[in-house]
Amino acid sequence: MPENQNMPFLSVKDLVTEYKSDGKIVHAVNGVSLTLDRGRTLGLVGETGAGKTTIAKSIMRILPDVGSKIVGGQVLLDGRNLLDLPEHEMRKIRGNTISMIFQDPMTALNPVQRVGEQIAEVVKLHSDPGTDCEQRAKEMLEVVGIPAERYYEYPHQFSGGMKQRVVIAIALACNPLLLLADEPTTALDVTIQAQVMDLIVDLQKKFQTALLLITHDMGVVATVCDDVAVIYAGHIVEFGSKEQIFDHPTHPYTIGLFGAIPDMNEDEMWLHPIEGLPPDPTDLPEGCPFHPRCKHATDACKHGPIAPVTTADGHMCRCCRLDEISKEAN
Amino acid sequence: MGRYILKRLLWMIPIILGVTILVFAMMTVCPGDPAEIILGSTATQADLAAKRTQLGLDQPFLVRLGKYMSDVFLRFDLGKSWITGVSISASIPERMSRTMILAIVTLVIAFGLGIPLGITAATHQNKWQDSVSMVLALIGVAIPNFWLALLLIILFSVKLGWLPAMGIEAGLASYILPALSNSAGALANAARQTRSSMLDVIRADYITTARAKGVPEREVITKHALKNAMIPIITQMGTTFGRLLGGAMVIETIFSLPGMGLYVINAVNNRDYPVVQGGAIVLAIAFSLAMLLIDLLYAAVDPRIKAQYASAKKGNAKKVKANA
Amino acid sequence: MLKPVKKKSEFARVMKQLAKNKLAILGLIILLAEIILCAGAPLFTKYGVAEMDYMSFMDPTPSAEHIFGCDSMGFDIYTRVLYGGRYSITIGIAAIIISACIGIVIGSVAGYFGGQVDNVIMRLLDVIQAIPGMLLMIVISAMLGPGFVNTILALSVSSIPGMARMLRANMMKERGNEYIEASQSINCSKPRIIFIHLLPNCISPIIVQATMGVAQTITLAASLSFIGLGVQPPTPEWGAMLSASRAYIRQYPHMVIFPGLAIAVTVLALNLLGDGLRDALDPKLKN
Repeated sequence: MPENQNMPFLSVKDLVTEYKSDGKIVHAVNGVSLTLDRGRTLGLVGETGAGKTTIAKSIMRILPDVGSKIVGGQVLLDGRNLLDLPEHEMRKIRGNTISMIFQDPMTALNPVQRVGEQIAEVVKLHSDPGTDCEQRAKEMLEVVGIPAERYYEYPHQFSGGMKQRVVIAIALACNPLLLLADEPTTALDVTIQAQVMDLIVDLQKKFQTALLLITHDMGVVATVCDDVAVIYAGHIVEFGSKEQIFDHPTHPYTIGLFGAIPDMNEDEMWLHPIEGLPPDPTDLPEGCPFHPRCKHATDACKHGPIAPVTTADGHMCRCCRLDEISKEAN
Repeated sequence: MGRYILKRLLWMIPIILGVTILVFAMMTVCPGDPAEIILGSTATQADLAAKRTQLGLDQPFLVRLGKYMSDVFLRFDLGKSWITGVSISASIPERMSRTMILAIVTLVIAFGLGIPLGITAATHQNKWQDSVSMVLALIGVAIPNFWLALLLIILFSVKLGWLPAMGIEAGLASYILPALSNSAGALANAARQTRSSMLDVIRADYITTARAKGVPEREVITKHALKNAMIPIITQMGTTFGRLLGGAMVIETIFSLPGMGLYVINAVNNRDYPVVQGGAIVLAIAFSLAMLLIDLLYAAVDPRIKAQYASAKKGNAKKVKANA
Repeated sequence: MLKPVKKKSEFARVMKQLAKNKLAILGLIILLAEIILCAGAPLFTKYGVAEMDYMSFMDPTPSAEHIFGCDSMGFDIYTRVLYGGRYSITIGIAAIIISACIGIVIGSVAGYFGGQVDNVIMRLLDVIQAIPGMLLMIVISAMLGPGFVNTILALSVSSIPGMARMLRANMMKERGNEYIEASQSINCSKPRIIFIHLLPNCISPIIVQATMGVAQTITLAASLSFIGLGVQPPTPEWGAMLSASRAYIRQYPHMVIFPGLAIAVTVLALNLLGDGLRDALDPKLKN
């Protein structure tokens, strides 16, 4: 946790989000709390389906309205609870103060609207009347490395990487203070991934943007993030600075995650995948959600909510066998 | 784009020639002696024989067909009605315009109300608005238009006396009941189509992108979702329009509205075959033009389809080069 | 040997899916009830189809004796609606069966062989479809003359192109699959490949189309009879009944209400069933 006495720029408290699917309630996000300051980057890591995207969409309040809702918690941005804002106030924030980069560039752009207009639209929504939105959109195209004359083209004339640049241009057109990037490079060719990531980071540095980076690529986390939150089944199981998480992972799940990454320095025969599957979000296990897959699990893990343990330097871990495991690791 | 339109127009030529041959052939095998139809049953054998020669009926089928086609396509003359002797080409414009007014008014009512109804249903999926709209749509599809016409006449003409039940003397008011009876089914289909294609689109990622930009919900639906959902709706418009051109016959008969439908129906009942042939050809041309218009609408709505049309042109150009 | 197993389970799945759809079941029940009522008409009414009630000329409106009232000839409308259903439903089903059979053959040939064969067939269908459907039907009935069988023929001819096109499109999609290559490699004859291997895999949209088609055909048959070109009065086909009663619309609206209601209810039931079948056959379409 940041130590400054000022309020953090973004502070999510006990966020709970559910949606209904086939009559069952999917517990997507279960009491997530996190903080993020301007100019900093927080990585949200975890498996597919762990609720990372839902957290981002909850912050922006753009969950698909069929059956999904934010059940509890707060999203404080500069001290204002976004969840209490009326829709028209929230609309002024979306795309302006907070914006989001989506996972799949192939489907994130409107196929029947010119790419330039898609950028100009967000500018127009959030700038003073009389602003030359087209000019601004062209500038943004140049910023993300696309010639301005392609303003008038349609998404189908762009490659995947170019589309993602347009998505980024849309997200950054209004100089957001908070950027939510949902696996911005997953759908791209490996060769373009680094370029796109560099672009995001450069722009972040330039505008002092707070960046919430959702990814399951630990390599990206290592190069880009300041802090890391490890998500499992809609819970944050471990939170700390990048160094803390990488050098001293404490939660069995985090340790397992690193076990699943090949280590270049050692000559390993086998990777160590985590046994079992993530739990069914409609029927989460009681107690620690990870206990069915955890080799350290005891009876204590199967009951009640697990209290987070935070060390003096802000390294949080939600595990009731923390002491035993860290002793074992040493 | 211009070349695409030209290509499509050229394609219409063989189709229309085909329609002409088909209809001409069907009329030829229709029962009844044309000479007797024209002169009536009291005519003498000599008169009948003379009439047959005059009509060229003693000549072989192919010769008659050839003559008819050269009249129609080279001199734009559809011949004269056997019954009234009036030139068919001269009668058609006025009647066609009435059928078109009826079709357009119907289309405007059906899609003007059907699309918003479908959008409401889609944006309130599984809520009461959805159920009510879809029950209405199911009923609308089920009610035969000619029966609805009778019911509307009972209500608005007989009981209330608000609107005329027949003729066109009352100007546009005369078209209200015919258009209403015609539009119920079309409206229902439009609403169902709109709902289902909006549901397909509404969960697309680019809709989330639009919301994330801070676009007001109303605009998300009308500007982003609807335009993407339009293609199947436009297809529906095309089929509806085609059905209206042909199906107008029943409605025009009920309301004695002297459009193309009534013209052709009366001709069929009086065995006035040149009128049936002429009517069929003109309706087929109108129908093909409408379909072309629909294809152009696709291109106007979706740049990908426009690009396809353009690249089809390029592809052909390549083929031509390769052949040369 | 795998295919029959798959087909059976597919059928079971579709039926299970259909059984879950309350509206579709409602449609099915209405239809079955109608078919029973119409087929066994004499059991459900005390009047004959051509039995005149001379008393009714004074007041033909619905009464305890004649629940739907009597028509201008003094016939009991309820009885005639039941007997008329025999004609209307038969026309609808027969016309669709004929057009589906012909459409399937034409569409299969075009879709399987492709190339020039396909080209010729499609251009012919283009020509037929360039004539608005109702007009085509009218011209055909003018050619054949009115009557029950001719109405069926006129209706089937005009719905062939739609069926053929749909099947062709599916055939072309399905043709590329490897099991077709496999059947070619074991030297199956072409008709065998088309009808035994390909057809069962592209038939579902046709089934849905046919269900909806019966509804449409009943309406079209009624409109044809209504304008005097289909089944002729005094045959109690629903459209013909409406046509005959049209002149009395001012004094006795009940004469046009009940036959039309019969059409509407039948079409509604068929559409409910068709919607249900479509959802059951293609879960993707259901949201």
